[in-house]
Amino acid sequence: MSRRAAQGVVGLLILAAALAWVRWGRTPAGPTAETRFLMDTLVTVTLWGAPGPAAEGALAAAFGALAAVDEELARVPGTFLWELNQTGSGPLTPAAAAVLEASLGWARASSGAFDPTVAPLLDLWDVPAGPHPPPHPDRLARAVAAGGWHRVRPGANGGVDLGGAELDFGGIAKGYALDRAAEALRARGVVDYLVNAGGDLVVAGAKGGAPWRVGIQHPREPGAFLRVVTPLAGALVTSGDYERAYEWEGERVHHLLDPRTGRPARGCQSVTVWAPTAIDADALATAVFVLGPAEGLRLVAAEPGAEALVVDADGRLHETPGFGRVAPAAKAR
Amino acid sequence: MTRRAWGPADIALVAALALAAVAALPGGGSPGAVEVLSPGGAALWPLGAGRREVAGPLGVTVVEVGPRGGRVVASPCAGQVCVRAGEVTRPGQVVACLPNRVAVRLVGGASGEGVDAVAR
Repeated sequence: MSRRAAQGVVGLLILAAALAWVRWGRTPAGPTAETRFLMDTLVTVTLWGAPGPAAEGALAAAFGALAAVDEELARVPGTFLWELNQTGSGPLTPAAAAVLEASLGWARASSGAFDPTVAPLLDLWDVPAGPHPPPHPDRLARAVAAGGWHRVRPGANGGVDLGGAELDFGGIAKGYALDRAAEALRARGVVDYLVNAGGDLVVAGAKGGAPWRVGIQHPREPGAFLRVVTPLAGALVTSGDYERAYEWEGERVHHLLDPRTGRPARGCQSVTVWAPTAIDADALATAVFVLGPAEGLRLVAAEPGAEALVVDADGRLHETPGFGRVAPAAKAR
Repeated sequence: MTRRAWGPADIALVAALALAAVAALPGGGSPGAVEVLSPGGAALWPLGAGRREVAGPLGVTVVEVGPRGGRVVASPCAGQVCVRAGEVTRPGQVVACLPNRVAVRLVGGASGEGVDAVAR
């Protein structure tokens, strides 16, 4: 073997050793994930990086942040929101104040298409109970008249007066909770994560150099995607008429109610919104669904940084010009 | 042409090439399986495992794991959304019965169709 060949062999050995170190020699980065039933849905937090106590601690912090919001703002007995609705007025916690302020802002911007006072309507329809006759029109009219975001006003000592209305943060609190979970992860130095709360997502970074891949559910074909995207860091939230729904005498009954009519909104099959924060994406997705594609997309266009993909009632796709930029189609692997 | 016996340098060359080739291979993934989450914990079932019963707070959810994925075939919940959701056949897809706290998710077996999450 010549000297030149020997040098080649040595070079190859060095290369092989380097590749072997990359492959086996350091702590392997990978996913650390946990799934829990929380916030009346299934929540999965996935981190990418070195597994171990730090990753486990970050997961626990994220779930802690989500649970804290749920325990305060879910409309079930024992929570702060439940008590506020019982008393009708009083001081607010920081989380309740933040979510209420955002809710009223979106109610104003959407001319009432998003409304945090839909609680009586949700109770009348009781979609989670499964197929049953719709509420009587008279009862619906009374529930619509009893609600209205404009009733909610500042109360004594920096608190709130509900003006006889009853709050439900179902269209926005999950987004707020997702933002708090992302905040908890970033505070622990996690830069690559995906938090999935029942299909509402916050995402950042990547998984080992490859982007997170997200399928956008087709609203009429279970198991099929409208498209697979690799969203930019931010939130991707979808509102659809297929998630919590049933058929009654040929009509689809779902939980996305138009606060102005008291009935399930009919302009869309699904709305997916990307926004820098999940609280805004969550509220916008609901508002756009209720407004319908034309008016809804105008609302999105007026919101800096937000983009949307809408499937209208006839199954046609509409999207803002920038949706493909913030949620580009994934490349085949 | 004469044949020469392999010397140490030749063997080292072959070993180096083999090591480099193996090291350059992409990391492998686990074969496809269905993860079932319930109040009893998480269980991983291989594709084709058939029908099994999973206990939840409302009663028994029946999960079927076929050769392509998993589905809920019977549930004690009122809405039956989980039953109507059909089969999960792509890694990352999940179908959940929220009232009975049972979820079925396809994991591993990464393919071009696989996703990390489904926006829905």
